[in-house]
Parts: sequence; structure tokens; C-alpha cells
Amino acid sequence: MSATEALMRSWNLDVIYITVLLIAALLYLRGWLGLHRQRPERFGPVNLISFLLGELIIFIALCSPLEAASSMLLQAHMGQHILLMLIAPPLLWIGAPGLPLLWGLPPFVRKAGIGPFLASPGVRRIFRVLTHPIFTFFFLAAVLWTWHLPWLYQLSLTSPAWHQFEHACFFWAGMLFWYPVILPYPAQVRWSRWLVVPYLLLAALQNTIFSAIFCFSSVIFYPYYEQVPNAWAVKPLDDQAVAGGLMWIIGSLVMLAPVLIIVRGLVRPKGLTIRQPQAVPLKRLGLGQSHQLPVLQPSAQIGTLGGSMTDTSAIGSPTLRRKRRGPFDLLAVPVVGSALSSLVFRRCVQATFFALALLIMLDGWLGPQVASMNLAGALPWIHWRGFLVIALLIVGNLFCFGCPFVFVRTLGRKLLPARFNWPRVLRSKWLAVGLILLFLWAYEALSLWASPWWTAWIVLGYFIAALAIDGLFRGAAFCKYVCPIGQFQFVQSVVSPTEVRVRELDRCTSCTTYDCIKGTAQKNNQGCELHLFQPRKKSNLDCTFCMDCVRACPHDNIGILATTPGSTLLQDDYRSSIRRLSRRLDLALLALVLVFGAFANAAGMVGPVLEWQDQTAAAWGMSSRMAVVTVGVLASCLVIPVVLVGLATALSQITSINTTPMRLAVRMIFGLIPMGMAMWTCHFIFHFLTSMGTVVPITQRMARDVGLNLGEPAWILSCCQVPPDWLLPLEIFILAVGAVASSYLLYRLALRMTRSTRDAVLASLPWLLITALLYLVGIWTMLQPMEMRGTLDVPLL
Amino acid sequence: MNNLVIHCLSVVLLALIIKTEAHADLGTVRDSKVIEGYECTLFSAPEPFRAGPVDISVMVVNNKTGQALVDCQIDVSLIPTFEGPASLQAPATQEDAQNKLLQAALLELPEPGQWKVVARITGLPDLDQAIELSALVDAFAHLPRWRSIWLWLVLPAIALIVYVFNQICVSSRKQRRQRSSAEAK
Repeated sequence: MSATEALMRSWNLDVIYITVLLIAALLYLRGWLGLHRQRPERFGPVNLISFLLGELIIFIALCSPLEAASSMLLQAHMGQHILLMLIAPPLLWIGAPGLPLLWGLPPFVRKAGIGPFLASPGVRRIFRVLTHPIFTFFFLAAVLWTWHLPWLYQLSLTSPAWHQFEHACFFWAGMLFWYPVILPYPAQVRWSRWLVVPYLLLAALQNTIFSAIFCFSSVIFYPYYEQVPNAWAVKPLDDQAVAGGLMWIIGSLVMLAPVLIIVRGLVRPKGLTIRQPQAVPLKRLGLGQSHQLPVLQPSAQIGTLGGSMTDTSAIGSPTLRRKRRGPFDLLAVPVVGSALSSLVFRRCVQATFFALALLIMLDGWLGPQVASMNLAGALPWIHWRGFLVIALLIVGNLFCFGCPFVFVRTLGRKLLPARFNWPRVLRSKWLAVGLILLFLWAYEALSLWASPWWTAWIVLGYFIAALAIDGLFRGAAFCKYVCPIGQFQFVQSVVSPTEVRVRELDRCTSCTTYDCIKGTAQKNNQGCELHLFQPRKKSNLDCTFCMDCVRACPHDNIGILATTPGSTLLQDDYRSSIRRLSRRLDLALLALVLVFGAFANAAGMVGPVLEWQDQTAAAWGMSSRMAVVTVGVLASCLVIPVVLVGLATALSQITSINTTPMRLAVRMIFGLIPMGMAMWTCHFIFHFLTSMGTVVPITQRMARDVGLNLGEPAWILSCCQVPPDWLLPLEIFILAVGAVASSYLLYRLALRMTRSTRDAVLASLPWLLITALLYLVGIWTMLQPMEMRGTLDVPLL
Repeated sequence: MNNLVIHCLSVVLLALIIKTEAHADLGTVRDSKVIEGYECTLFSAPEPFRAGPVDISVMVVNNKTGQALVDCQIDVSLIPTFEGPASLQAPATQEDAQNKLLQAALLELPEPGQWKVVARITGLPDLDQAIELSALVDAFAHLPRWRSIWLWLVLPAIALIVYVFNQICVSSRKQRRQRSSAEAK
């Protein structure tokens, strides 16, 4: 293999770089599409192509074989710097990324998150200083010369962290340098455009001096390149000269070409009428009221590279105002929407899950009793849980949509017509709290994840319970009051990004038939079995995404609409079938058990906790962990949380909280849900990503057992899967997002129950400490050696 | 005050885009030999060399043809020069190398101290003898795991700072509005 051939295979596909570039591209594209519809002359295809090209250049500089070559050839390293400093920044600025990136953000982030910063005079002052040509010129020169000092350059060659910092410096110096040249829309011109000419000429001059030193020096500046082997037989001194030559030629071309364009624009005669500068009020971008984005003055238009030459009339015109559109509606998406609202599609999904459940039961009873070799050991505990949290984070409660247990009881209802009402005393979540505690205990005490046999019986038990309860009682009593999976889904789906709700509330006020809850006999559409009256439904609590209401509504007024995750927890108004959150102690306790259960469940799989359980059992004179696990689960999921909540409530009461302790506690507990969800996500995603290959050999084994030939089971896929490098940072990031979301919710909840910001901070402080404690417990758990469930022990191979 | 916060914020955000873990892409040159036209070079990473995950890579170039040889048999050994841990051995392969011009072995160095790094290269065309590269390397103490991910760990604190600054901006905007409306009256 030639050196070049080997090099061309050296792609540095860094997850972080690619993620950042993709997110930026998606945000830009989203914003550009919106702006292009309203201002096609301002946000044209040239902007889009230029921005994406700029991103591509960054990708080439950092992820292509150029990165690998840069360790061996100075000219390759110089090429990287040229791309990052001189090519990518002007392309990005020509894309006029400011407004499209802002427009691409969710409105909440744009208005409440970014808006105050952009409107701040301090930020604007700093931005003006940073983009002042004198500053940008000297900053670029300083970065260029400083980073090429031999000792600093050598440092970047041996340390990846310094290498990345060096690239960041070059990129941001380039971005600042090219800002006054391109003046991306809606930049403000503060000086004559003629000043850009000496600006660029001087920059080209210093670039020439810099390059000439490299070209003509007889001294090798960087001994590192002498030490590393040279696969291309290029002498280090020649390499250095070529690097200087590249910088000289490309740098001069890139800096002098804009001079010609700008001068041409400036000297071209025009019948331009001078208008007063107009501003784009930030309000129109939803960013504030009294502040304005910088604008182009008429003279600024001439000779700018980032926008059209003469257009000022439309700036600030009402056309820039975003047309009021409803939130994103998943049901309005072609194919997906019609599939989700179709009963036939739902039955198909349920039937598929039902078939999988049958396979799980059969394999659990008849297959090998090794979790990683059995469908009942892998599919429910690795794949299903992984999909569960991913679906919750991306859409919502999709499992209940395809629930196989409901499928069976729906069929069974034809034989068992439900005649009774669910007992009034059980119309709460207390039973569910008990069942979830029982499940968390059984999971650890009976090692359910390791027992296909137990798993199969649990699945069967589920089917029997669903059939029996909903066969006897009206409505969806099983889903609403009993099913632990359903309760988990209901609670966690309050942080999902979509919600089943009415599109236009006004239409419901004129509705007299209430089909969404009563159903329509003519169309044989039943209404909501969980008694959620759509106009008064808030959040996904108790919503199974069954779409019965969607099909029943004669006005086609219900959709799966985008919502700000967790925002409905801040409200305490009346909710259909839920009532006020502040009066639902049972629901709050359910949430609390699920939050702390997430941490207890994850901690139960790490080495130190298992060792502690063994040691404690030995100290208690017991041969099994059962008693220790029982005490541990009760303490971690119930006693400790209740004590912590009690303490936090008592401390919060010191401030002037204008509610009762019970209501305060109940409301604040809901604020912890994102933290719990983050931990569940980390836990389930870890198993999913490290063990998802297990299903392949199991399927092959099952096929072989029934006489089909899908090849020899590739058990290697069930063994020794090393977690990828990026998994731990991803898990910590998820935990951090959960902690931040919980903290925000807790503060906002406290703000609603107090009279001043100071009181809100003080009242929320104990709760924030609980969040911080949970975050640290989560981090500690993630850093411990994990019991690799779902993977095969090597001796078994 | 605002400016100070912004400066701090900028530094933190800038630092965020810098990854801290060291993954070898060449790394530090430890030994180099040219035998019968084959130029062999031994690299180690991270720099500074520490207990924990290490990357020992070898590059073999045929100076006559300018070809990089990436399918040689290379056995890497890490031998402690002190009592305690056992020697580590692993084959260096192109799959484990990020830079495909090299062959790398990823090992877990259990303890700090002086280690002898040895790479034995065999199977070179037209060369019967094995080429051995070696170097004595001082390994520093294991970096605590949190040190390599601390930037991720402080994300909530960064979010808190951003939020506090956001609230400062919001309240100052409110004050400005109140002032201007009072002046108007």
C-alpha cells in the first residue's frame, strides 16, 4: 500500500466535530428556508451554498486525511490553517449566518435565551470592539505569528488538546478578520468601505513577510518534522518552503481578490439615492422590544460581498415579520401523520409487538436460560428499553401507541364486555406506586434481566392482568391505574417534545358534541378511554397516544403538536381527569419514586454497589442479597426521597412561600422529573448501545432451533462489546441536560410561589441541592465499572 | 460587571470546544532506525506519558519505494523496570491506528513508573532479521477519570452562569425601559 493510499483511509470522524457541524447546518437550513420564503432576494441559494461550503471546508480541514498528514508534513498542516483561517470564514460569512441561525432556533430559545444577550448594550459593545478592523487585523496577525513560534508549534504537534486549541484560534481569528470585509447581512458599516482596501493590502503584506520567512529560511523551524519518518521523501527544508509558498500564494489570492471586487463596486457609477438607515427591530425576530439589530446603511451596501448591492428598501419592512404559524404538527406530516392517525396502522404495530411478545415468552420458557442467548433476556431489557427512551425523547409515548397488552384486551373485550366501574378507592396512582416499587425490587432481587424464564412469566402476567381488568371494568382502568409501564411512560412523557392536543382552542368552544371524549357512534370511533377532555388536557400525563380522540374529532382539530418539554409542569390550572397537579400527592409520589428509582436501578448494576451488597449480606449473616436488596430498594426509592423532600420543603418554608407545605412539596417534586428521565436515558442507552448486536446471534440461534438456517450464531456480537469513546461524554451530557432542566423548572416553580426573585432563589435552593446530589450520584454511577448485561461471558463462548 | 461575565463566559465556551483526552496520532517519537532501507519509527501517546490508556504506534517506510508498510507483524511490549506489574503485550495493527500509515497497539498501563517500550517488527519483504525498536519511558501517575471529562461535568455550572447572565440582561433591560418611560413622563 502506498503512503498516499494509506493516508487517504485516515479519516478522523470525530463525533463532536460532526455533531456540531450537522447541528449548525440543520439550524441554518431551517432558518434559511423560513427567511428565503419571505426575502428570497436577501437569503438566496448563494447564501445557503456558501454556508454549507464553509462547513464542508471545516470538515475537510479537521476530519479528512489532511489531519493525519499534518502530523508528518508541514505543508499539510499549513493547508489546514489556510482552510480554517482564510477559506472557511469568508464562505461562512457570505452565508449571512446570523439571522438564519437565529431563525432556526426554537422560538423559546431565541426569545428567552438568546434575545436578552443580543439586546444587551454590553454585548453589543464587546461585539463592536471584537469586529473593529484594527482589532481584527492585529488579532489575526498575533495568532498567526504566535502560533508559529517553534516551541508553541511543537507543543501543538505533540498534544492533541493544544492542537485543537490552535485550530480554534486560527478559525476564530479568521472569522473576526473577515467580518469587516464581508459585512454579512445585517451588519452595520461604521467606516468607509474604501478602508477595506488598505486593510486587506496590509494583511496581504504581513502574510507575504510571514510566508517569505518560511520559503527562504535555511533553518528548519520545527525539528519535529525532522524526527518523523517521511513517506514521501520530501526533505524537511523543502517541506517548509512549500508550506510557506502555499501560504504566500493562497493567502495573497484570497486577500487580494476581494480588494478588486470591492473597488469595482465602489467606483461603479450608480444612481443611488441616499436613504436614512433603517433598522430591523428585534421584536420582529421575537428577541425583544426596544432594541435593534445593526443595519446596513446605504453606503454599506456598495461593495459588500455578503448581500445584494442596492437593496435597502425591504429592510425592516413588515415582510420580514414571521407569518404566524401553528406549532409543528406531526399529524400534518405526509405519510407519518396519516399512519399515526390510522386505526389499521395502530393495530398492525400492536400485532407486531404482540408477535414479538409471543416469541419472547416461548423463548423464555423453552430457550437456553442464559440472558444473552435468549430473546427474553435481550429484547425486553436491552432493545425495548432503549427504543422506549429514544421514542420518548424524540416524539412521545409511542410504546403505549403500539402496546400489545391493549391489543389483546381489545380483542378480548368482544368476549368479556366490561360491566363494572373501577372502584372509586383505587382511582389514583397509589396502586401504581406500589407496583412500581414491587417491580424495582423484583428487578434487583430476582435478577429479572438475567432470567428469561421470569421475564416470560412477567409478560404473560401482563397479558392476563390487562385482559382481566379491562374485561371486567369499563374504560382503560388497566392503563390508567395499574400498568407500571404506562405510569412510567405518562410521567416521563411530560418532557417529550410533542403532545396530543387541540390545534385551535376556539373551535372547541363552539363544539357541542364532545366527540373527543364521548366518541362517535356513527363512525364507530370511541372517545378517550382515559377520560381526557382535549380542550382541558394539558401535558402528556395519562395520555396513551392511542389517537382515539384524533379519529373521533369531527373538526379535525387534534394533532400531535410540538411543545416545550416540561413547560406544562409549571402550570397548575385544572387538567381534565388529572385535576390540579398541586393536589395530586399520589402522582407526585409516583414521580418521586421514578426519579430516585432511576438512580437506584442504575446504581444496582455497578461493581462497588454489588460488592457493598455482598459485604452487608455477609455482615448480616445471610447467604443471599435478598434482604439487603429489599432494604436498599425501599430506602433509595421511598424513604430517602421522602426524607429529602420533607427537609427541602421545611427549608423552603423559611422564605415567604405563599402556599401550603404539602402543595409546595407536590409541585416541586414534578420539577425533578427531567433529572430522573436523564438517568433512565443514560442507563437504557448504555445497554442499548453496548449490547444491541445481541439480537443477531439470538435470532440465528432461534432460527436454527426451528430448523431454519440463518447461519451459525455470531456469538461474538454478544460478547466483550467495548463502550465507544463518546458514550461516557454523551451520558454525562444527558445527565447535565437533565440537571439543568430540573434546576430551571424548580426555580421557575419557586418563582410562581414566592413574591420576589430573592425568595424564589432561597426557596428553590434546597431543591437545587437535591438535583445536584442526584447529578453527582449519576456521574459517580457512570464512572464505575458496569456489569455488562446482555453480553456473553467469554468462558461461555 | 456584565463585561467581566462575558469575558469569563467566552473563555469557558472557547475551552469547551477543546477536547482533553489524548489519542495518539503519531505522538512523541521514542526511537527510530533505518535498516536495509526500512525506516522504522516508534511513537507513544499521550504526552506526557501516563498510566491509563496508552497508544504505542509504529511506522515503517520503505525508503527505496516510498511505500508505507502497514501489514507488518509488529509485537508491542511494555515491560516495567520496577517490581510489581506484569509486562503487557499486544500486536500493533492498522485497524487500531487512526492514522492509517501507522500500526498501533492500544494498551492499558496499570501503574506509573519507568517502562521499557519495545516494538518487534518482522515480516518485512527481503529482510530476514527482525527490527527491534525500544525506549525507556517514564510514565506519570494515572490521570483521574474525571480529569479527562471535567469539561462535560461542569456543563450544568456553565448553564447556570449563562442563565444568571441572561437574567441580568433581562432585568437591566427592564430597568432601562422603566427609566425611559419615566423620562418620557
